[in-house]
Amino acid sequence: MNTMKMKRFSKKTVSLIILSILALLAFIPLYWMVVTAFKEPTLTMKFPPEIFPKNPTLQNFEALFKRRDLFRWTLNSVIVAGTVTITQIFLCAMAGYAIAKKRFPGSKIFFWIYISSMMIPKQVTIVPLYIMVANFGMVDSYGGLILPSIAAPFGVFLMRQFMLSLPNEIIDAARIDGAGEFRTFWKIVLPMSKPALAVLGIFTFVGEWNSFLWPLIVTQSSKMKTLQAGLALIQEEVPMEYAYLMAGATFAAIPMIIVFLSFQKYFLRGVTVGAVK
Amino acid sequence: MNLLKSIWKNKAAYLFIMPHFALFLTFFLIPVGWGMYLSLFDYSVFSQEFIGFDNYKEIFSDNLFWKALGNTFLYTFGVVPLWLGKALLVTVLIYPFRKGIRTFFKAMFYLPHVSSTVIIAMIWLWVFNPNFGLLNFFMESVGLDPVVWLGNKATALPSLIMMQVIMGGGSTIVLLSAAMSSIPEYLFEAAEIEGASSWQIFRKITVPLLKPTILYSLVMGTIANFQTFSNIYIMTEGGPEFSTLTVAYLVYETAFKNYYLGLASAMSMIMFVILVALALIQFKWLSSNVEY
Amino acid sequence: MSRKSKVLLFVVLAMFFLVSLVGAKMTITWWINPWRIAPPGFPADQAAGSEDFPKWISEEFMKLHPDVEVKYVVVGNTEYSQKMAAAIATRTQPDLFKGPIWDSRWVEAGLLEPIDDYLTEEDWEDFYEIALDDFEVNGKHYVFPWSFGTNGMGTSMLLYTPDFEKAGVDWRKIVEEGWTMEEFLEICKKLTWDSDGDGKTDHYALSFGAKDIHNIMNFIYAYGAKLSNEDETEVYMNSPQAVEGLQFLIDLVKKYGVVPNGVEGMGVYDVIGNFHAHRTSMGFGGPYEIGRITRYYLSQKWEFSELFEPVIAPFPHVEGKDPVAYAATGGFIVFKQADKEKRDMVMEFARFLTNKENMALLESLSYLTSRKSVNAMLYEGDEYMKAQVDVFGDIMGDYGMEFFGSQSFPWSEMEKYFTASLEAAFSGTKTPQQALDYFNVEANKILEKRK
Repeated sequence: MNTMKMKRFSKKTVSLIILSILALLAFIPLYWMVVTAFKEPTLTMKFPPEIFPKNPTLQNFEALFKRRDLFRWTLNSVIVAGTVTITQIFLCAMAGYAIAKKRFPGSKIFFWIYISSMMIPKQVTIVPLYIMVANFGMVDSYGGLILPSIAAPFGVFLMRQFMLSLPNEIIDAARIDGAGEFRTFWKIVLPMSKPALAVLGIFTFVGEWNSFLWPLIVTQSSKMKTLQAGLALIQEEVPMEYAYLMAGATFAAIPMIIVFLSFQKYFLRGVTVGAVK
Repeated sequence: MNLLKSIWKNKAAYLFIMPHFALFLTFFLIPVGWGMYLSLFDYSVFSQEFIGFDNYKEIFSDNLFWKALGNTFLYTFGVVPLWLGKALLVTVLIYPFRKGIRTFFKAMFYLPHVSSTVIIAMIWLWVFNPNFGLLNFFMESVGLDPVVWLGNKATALPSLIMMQVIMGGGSTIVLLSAAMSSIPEYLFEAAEIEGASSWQIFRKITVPLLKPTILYSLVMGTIANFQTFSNIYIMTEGGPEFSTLTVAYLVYETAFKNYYLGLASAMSMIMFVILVALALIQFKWLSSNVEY
Repeated sequence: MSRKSKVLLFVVLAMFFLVSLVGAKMTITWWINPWRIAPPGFPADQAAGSEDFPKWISEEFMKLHPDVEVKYVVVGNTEYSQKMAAAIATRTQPDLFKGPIWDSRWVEAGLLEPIDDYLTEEDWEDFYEIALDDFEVNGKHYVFPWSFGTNGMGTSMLLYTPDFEKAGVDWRKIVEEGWTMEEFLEICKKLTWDSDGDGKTDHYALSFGAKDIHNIMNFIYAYGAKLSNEDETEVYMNSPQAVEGLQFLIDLVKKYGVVPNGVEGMGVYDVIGNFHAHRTSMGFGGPYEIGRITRYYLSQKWEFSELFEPVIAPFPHVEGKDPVAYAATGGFIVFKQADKEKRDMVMEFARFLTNKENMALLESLSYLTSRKSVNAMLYEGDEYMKAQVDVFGDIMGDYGMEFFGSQSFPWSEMEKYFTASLEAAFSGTKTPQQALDYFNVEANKILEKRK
């Protein structure tokens, strides 16, 4: 018995060491980003570098915030991510509900279209999508940024998976009581789906906030860019200004890190909704 | 007639689907179809001519495309096994710990995921800096020579692979952990009592039972990494000497720098076919893989 | 109809009429890339942003023409050609633009307005000939010239004189008379040393980057290389002269050690940073780069320990040949207008942008202008800058040449192959001959496609 316990203990210790090393590897770059952001620019180009800043300074952030375009970019990201999220929650819930709970001609077809389109690489759609958006006159506009993002199939897939597990009896009971379709959806199904909606909402918001390829392509002028595209612009502008760039990166990363830490359980749970089947 | 009746009876269902499906049709399905159509055209600023399969002929005879394809395969098959292996390892290692520690590690590994690819690329560009970067600092402090990570064509692509493996895997770990917690504990206990080694338990119990989830992660991971773009865009632009040129970046350049939209569409179609083939192969391979 | 309804109808119609008048206001849309020019009255101790100038000048023009609305768009350099191509393809191109792009096919496709009728006699005299002719196609001109010369990369070198004096080299002679490749090499050796005594060279004469092609190309052209034949149907970049030029540069790194290793991985900002930090005694560029030193010093960039005033000198030349300098112009290009009234107004705006007062604003960026009269007035009171601008102007006037073919040459498609071949040559994976052969093959393929 004792040897077994000892075996387990030493196994656990070794595990902890390995896990800590791996986790540290992933964490160090993020730490380094923050450290560099608070260093004086001349110190970044010192070798060997300071691992912990002796005289942290806010000057990089000051210089960063003097940029008027930075706030415009952030605002754009908020508007785009927010609008896409809210719209997606409702539209995907409706579609997912229909596919999951209702038997109607073609429901299987819809489902397979959605699920197989998740395998299509983005590159296939961005070229024709760009022409289409340009022809609609939506290049360099919020419409161009928002509408194609709402069209993503993953949300419908997620909601459908979740809604499958909703008890049919309650829904039927409401129907028998005479509630119309939409009422049933609004008053019964949606409230029951809150966890899944939260997960979808969070994933969509973070995904949109971090999205890069499409905003890069569809925005022209500096003032319509989202934060990520704006960051790439700064990187191009002053590629050697590492302290300044890291301040920018920190500024862009913080919101999502805060979201993550506050809604941790939704992230950790959400990845599983729909995939473990 | 029965069909029409059925449709009318279920009109509510269609109404529920329509809002999203309308957008999905307009901004996703139609572009996909149009992309296929476009790939048969010489579509640029000055001309829109139907040229049949000439785009494909041109792509297949372009050395640069083959280089990009090779790099993309190298990158994808470099990242996916390593990152999946890391995820499996972490999942198995954290399994015996109590919930608090498990959540802590899951959160730590997931954290890089919420930073965008752009941010991660910017940070690692700095880490890889040949004169002042963190990595070369470590190299020198253990007595090795500094390396020009992204400037040397032998190390550029491996550096990008390393970056992805170190930073990625968070969501897979969460996924695998969830799947693992649905495996009945007695299976593990029984095996332990019978004297099975950790490796045997891993091979004969854990992996087979996690197969569906592993397969899902494998397919999704392959698809995602095949399309890798932001890191190339921010860090190397395909160089040095085209050693980090990927198909996704080539599509972007062809379409949005040189404005050869037909050619780019054809390239993306080829990507699509390859990904479907890879997914099918992975399904076949993992499903047929030995049953114990 | 009752009286009341008649009045109502009249009011409604009147409103429609007024609204249509307002709605019919002429709108001019124009694009510009990020040039941080300071408009008049801008605080001297701050660096201008990329929107300050376009905003100011649009407003000034609107003050002069209250019935016109002027909208500006600042488009980043790297994506400029993409955005323009997309805009043209969807017929949403601006009325007027200045940017780092030109495609002579636009003229063939009838997309541009010739400007010949809108220049006065005085203008024709005042603008530099090269500036106007840079964008001439079939006898018609398509650009209102604005900036003359670029930041100076590939045009002239910058010398940090204290190092030269320390090494006992007469830099004034270099500025006035130029230097041969042999003289240049000897001087480089004198400017390379180990400053902290640890046995490793840490101070170099100059540095290069494979992504910073202008400066490398200067040497290649100096040896007599030619980009292509007369009618631009064949690329000649792998000629013996080109190989000799490239080999000389590689020797500077590998044989003589006067240029730091790692050229294949460096870009223009690495080269600039090295010069700013005095890790090299020489840098590259014209008045714009001198301005950059001041700007960077004021914003306390990392590489600076002091503010210094380098002098402009020509690139070295091969014995028996002239030195070579990159010359290019930038200006405003007008897209075809359907409406005559609008065309006149757009041209009026272009003329406003390039008139003498407004063109002089380029001084804040230390660019030369394309008006002779304005250049003569720049930097009154600043002896140092005036001297540098004079030297720079002379270099461009005497030795200026195009590096990337004529305006219809598809260099932008070839550029990545050139960078790749430089990377290969400097990292040693290919010999200079192999590297340039590679470029030549790919470049000719691109020319084939264009035919």
